[in-house]
Amino acid sequence: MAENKWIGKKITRYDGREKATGALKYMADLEFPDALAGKILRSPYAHALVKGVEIAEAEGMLGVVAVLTAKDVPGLNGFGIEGPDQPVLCGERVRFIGDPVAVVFAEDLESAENAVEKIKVDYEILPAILTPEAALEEGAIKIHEEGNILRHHKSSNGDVEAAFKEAAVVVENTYTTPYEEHAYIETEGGFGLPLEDGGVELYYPAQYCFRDRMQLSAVLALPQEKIRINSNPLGGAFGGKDDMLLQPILALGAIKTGRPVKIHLSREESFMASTKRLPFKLTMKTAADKNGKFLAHKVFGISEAGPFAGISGAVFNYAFENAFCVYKFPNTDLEGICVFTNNSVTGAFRGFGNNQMTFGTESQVDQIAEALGMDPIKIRRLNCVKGGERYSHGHKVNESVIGIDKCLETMENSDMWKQREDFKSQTVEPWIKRGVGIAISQHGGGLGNLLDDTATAQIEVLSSGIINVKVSNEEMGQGSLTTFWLIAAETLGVAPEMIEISSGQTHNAPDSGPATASRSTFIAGNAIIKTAEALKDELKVLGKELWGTDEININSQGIYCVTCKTNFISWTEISAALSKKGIDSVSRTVAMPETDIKIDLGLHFIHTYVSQIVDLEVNTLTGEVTLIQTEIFPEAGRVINRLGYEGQSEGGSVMSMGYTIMENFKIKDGKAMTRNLQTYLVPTAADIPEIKVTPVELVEKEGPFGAKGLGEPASIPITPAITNAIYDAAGIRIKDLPASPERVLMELCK
Amino acid sequence: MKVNEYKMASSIEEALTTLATSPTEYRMLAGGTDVLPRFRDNLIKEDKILDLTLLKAELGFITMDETGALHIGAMATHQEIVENEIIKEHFSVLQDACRTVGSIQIKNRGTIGGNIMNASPAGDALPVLIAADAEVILISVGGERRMLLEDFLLGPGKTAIKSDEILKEIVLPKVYHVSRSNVKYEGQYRKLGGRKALTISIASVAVLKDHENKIRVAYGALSPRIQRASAVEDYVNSAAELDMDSLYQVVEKCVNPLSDVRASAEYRKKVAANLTRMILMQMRYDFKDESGEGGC
Amino acid sequence: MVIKFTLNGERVSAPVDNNLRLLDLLRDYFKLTGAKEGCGQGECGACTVIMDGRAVNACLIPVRQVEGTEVLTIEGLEKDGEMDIVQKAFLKEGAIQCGYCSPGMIMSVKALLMNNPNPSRKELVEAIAGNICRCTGYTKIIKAAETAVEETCAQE
Repeated sequence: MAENKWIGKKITRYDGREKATGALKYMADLEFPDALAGKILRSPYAHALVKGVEIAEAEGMLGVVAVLTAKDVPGLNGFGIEGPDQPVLCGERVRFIGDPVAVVFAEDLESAENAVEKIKVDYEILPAILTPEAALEEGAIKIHEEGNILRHHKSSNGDVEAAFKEAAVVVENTYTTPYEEHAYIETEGGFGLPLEDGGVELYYPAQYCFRDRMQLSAVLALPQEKIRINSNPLGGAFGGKDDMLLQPILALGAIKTGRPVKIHLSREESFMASTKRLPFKLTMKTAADKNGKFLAHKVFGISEAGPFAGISGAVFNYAFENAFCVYKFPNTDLEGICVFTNNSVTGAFRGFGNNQMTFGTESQVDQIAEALGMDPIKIRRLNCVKGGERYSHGHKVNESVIGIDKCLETMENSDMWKQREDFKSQTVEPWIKRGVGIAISQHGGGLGNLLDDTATAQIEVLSSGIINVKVSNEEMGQGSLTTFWLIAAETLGVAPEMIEISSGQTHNAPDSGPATASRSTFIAGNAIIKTAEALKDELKVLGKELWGTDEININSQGIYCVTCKTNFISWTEISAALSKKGIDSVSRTVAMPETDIKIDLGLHFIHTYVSQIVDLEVNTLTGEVTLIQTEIFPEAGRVINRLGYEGQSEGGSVMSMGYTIMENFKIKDGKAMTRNLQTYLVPTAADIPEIKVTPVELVEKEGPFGAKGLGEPASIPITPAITNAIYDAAGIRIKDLPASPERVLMELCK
Repeated sequence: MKVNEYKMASSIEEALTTLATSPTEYRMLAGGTDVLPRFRDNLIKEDKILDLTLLKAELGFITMDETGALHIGAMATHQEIVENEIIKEHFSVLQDACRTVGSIQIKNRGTIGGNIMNASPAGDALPVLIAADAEVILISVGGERRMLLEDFLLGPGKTAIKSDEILKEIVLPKVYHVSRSNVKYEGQYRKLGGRKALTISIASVAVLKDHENKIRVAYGALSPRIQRASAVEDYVNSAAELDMDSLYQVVEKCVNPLSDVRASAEYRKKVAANLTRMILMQMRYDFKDESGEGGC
Repeated sequence: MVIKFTLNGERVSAPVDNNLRLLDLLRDYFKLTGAKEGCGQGECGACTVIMDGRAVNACLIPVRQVEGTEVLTIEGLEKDGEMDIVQKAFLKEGAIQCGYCSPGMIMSVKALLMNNPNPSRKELVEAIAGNICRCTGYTKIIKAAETAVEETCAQE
């Protein structure tokens, strides 16, 4: 591979200093003069009609400036990524505990809170749908007009039943995965500001400012040009700030009061109102021949969208797109249903359905390997799709699909794998059992081919001589700013200090699509490269105009003529020269490469592959699972931002370790029993293993400098690797997450 | 948090006088790590605070008297206990327990007195103190009184304190000193939580061996009241050889756990017995049957 | 009611009411927004500051207890534009991602090194176990703390 100046190196991140000094202002840190504080009145019932809302007493209270209800929504009282089925303020029906009914804006938070208590709502309680099975019952109450089914997928290929009959081994199990709470340290909060032209400006942490602007345009009955959104920095998102939450209410408040308005959710309110990972119940039946070749895979799954579609349909689709992981199954049968319920709102969460499905699939594969006495790495290598082959949905994928075999091969040759028996023999107390487990995953980058997936980048050479690269993709901690910075610098051939990134806004950045789906590095990176190349073309034209030649060199000082080195102009001069020609900026759009067939689930073309080993201990007296060490082998193309690449791998591993062994979002009768960080446990520094990140670097030719996405892929295989290791250690098969100490001990005692 | 009056007591005398005059009006506050979250959740009925922080000077002591008894002032923080050389030398198992409280930020503010007055069945320092027959000294304008901590703690959030009293100190008689440096005595505190740090106890066990080589046991987070587990103590101290079934039976007699959002009662019972077994095995007690294999 | 204390090396005073916490005072009155409110109950550590030499959760300190104390916040670490050793180590090792937990995390490491310049790995982990990070998985944070220890020892 070519030697790069910045790509692949350890660089201090773009936004590092301001974060290390506490200087960076997140949205709730900002201050605007005369700002009002907002407090939302939320439904205490999972399902009820709203017969009336009495606000007169609240309106008259000290410090109260406005009390808003559904009738105050000027445009469409609805929003949602898939369709506007989620009310801004409920005037007719509430569909979950936490659904907003009214909002008070007052001079201070205490006054707003006091006033909220004086709002009287007349509810008529309706039967609530509290399980996915209840949603499907004959005569069940309809949460939406169209019924309770959001998605129903059915597909098959070949003849699974015949395959099951002739198979040497058939494994059948049902796996369940719970809700997961993102638990970003920054709870949702920000400001809405009225603009002089009757428009509104938002400062609010979110993952796609342009999509939010489009939705708000309908809610506020305002043209999009009158809505300005500032959506970064974010204090963590992981998919949880993809759906809108407070934006419509903040915008409404600013417009109705004519003053800046602020809401910052408490942790409890964030838990109650924000989206959660979709829970799944997956029954899988998998068969193989006596040599370990997979013959058939059958999956029946059911999941919950919660009360609104949001992006849950896409999550459900993506889970089923990943039903086969990266294996060849000649016979397949899939059926899945995603239903509405009156439980927590579900939505995007790092991995997007793939974690849940792959937990099941990789548990199945391990059980087949065991039944046949086969090595778990060898059986996977045997069955993975090879270069040039199609995936089991029938579609063509990137040539770097050979990456999965490279991950497995690298893992097989690693010290951690080779020394696994040594590791296992090193226990002292007889009640501690050690085990080693592995798993793989694959993850498509981008939105899939049912949606338009493009990104536009823009570059302006400022009169100060700084090169301003603009992409709207939000920086939520994943390091996109740094990645874009290095890509721009490397492409142009200038020092990173020359580059300034504008992002997270609708007014000074073009639409680069959402900061989701592990797409930012790939697609926005490509857009930046294409735009930078276009800028270089313009510089060549300048060279021709100035010096009669387009053979120029570019550096941090400016451009100069190769053959006539004394001919040189600075970036400031370049800025002026381009402006004079009417070229204020250069902009290019790229699209995500697509695969060649379309199905109802949507399909991806570019995939990232990961394999992982986990070495752990099970305390057979308490059920505690302790991870000792893990090695993760991501194949995500070239490493661009080395510290960022490792950070995503480590962070993704630990987050999903939490999902696997301790995060337990409990809900009863539609109410969250785990309401904050005291009862919903996420990993602390005392819970982590030693983590080794071993990049398997192949070049993905479609990717910027050969790179692919990593944010989500790094969070997937550790879950089945852990449960496979628990089986290795203690002989118990965990099929219901989390593998909490209680669950493990109860399983041991069966 | 709706506080209408906030009084910083500048001395013990001032605190006691305030309480003598207005016995039920003030909520007492020391480190704040239990009281402030309760205010936030609207669980405090008083609207007046009596802040005891300035009593640190008088009540922050950790000393040993000439009889060898340990005296810990109510205002000593968990972290001060963890760092204290006297406790390290003579009763390090208390440090093991205090070390598991919350986080370092919590330990730097939370006091042993607060841990006792909060009277949570899951309070981390409590099982060790009760196993060691700790006593509490209470003071009021009328004088001092002293009682066993085990009798002082009446149930979740309830103590035998009178409305004009404050908790002054905890006394640990010499005979129950156990430390790592002294090989004759042993003691262990084990806490099981949902994760390895910053976690509220699901189940905890304190096992101490006294100067007569007899064990003393107390459980945490497993009953509304924390008490000496006499059935377990009698069994272990008299049995020629231990067996798991008998141990489980006596443990079950001594615990009465709830099922809550953290864990079920059934799991808590099993884990209580298993943690006891784990500690006893590490104290080199022999079990008749298959030791260490499975905890069911 | 006015309280007087030392904030980032300066003697200051502030008007307070009975319901304020140190976190509110820092953010709303002094406009020092480095300390964040992540949970309001001492479960996340995002509000960690150093008070009289010890790491504490500012969300659990009633303002009246701040009287006469020395408080150090993230904003007080930089001296004449030069970052503290701990801050530099965090940047060098890539221990910051979204940055929301970082001020609290850095203060916890700083507090440890102020009291114990050569801590063991176990002590490092204990010092930050009360600071939740959802992004990094803690690996680089521990590495940054170890780097800060090395650089501190090298300096002495």
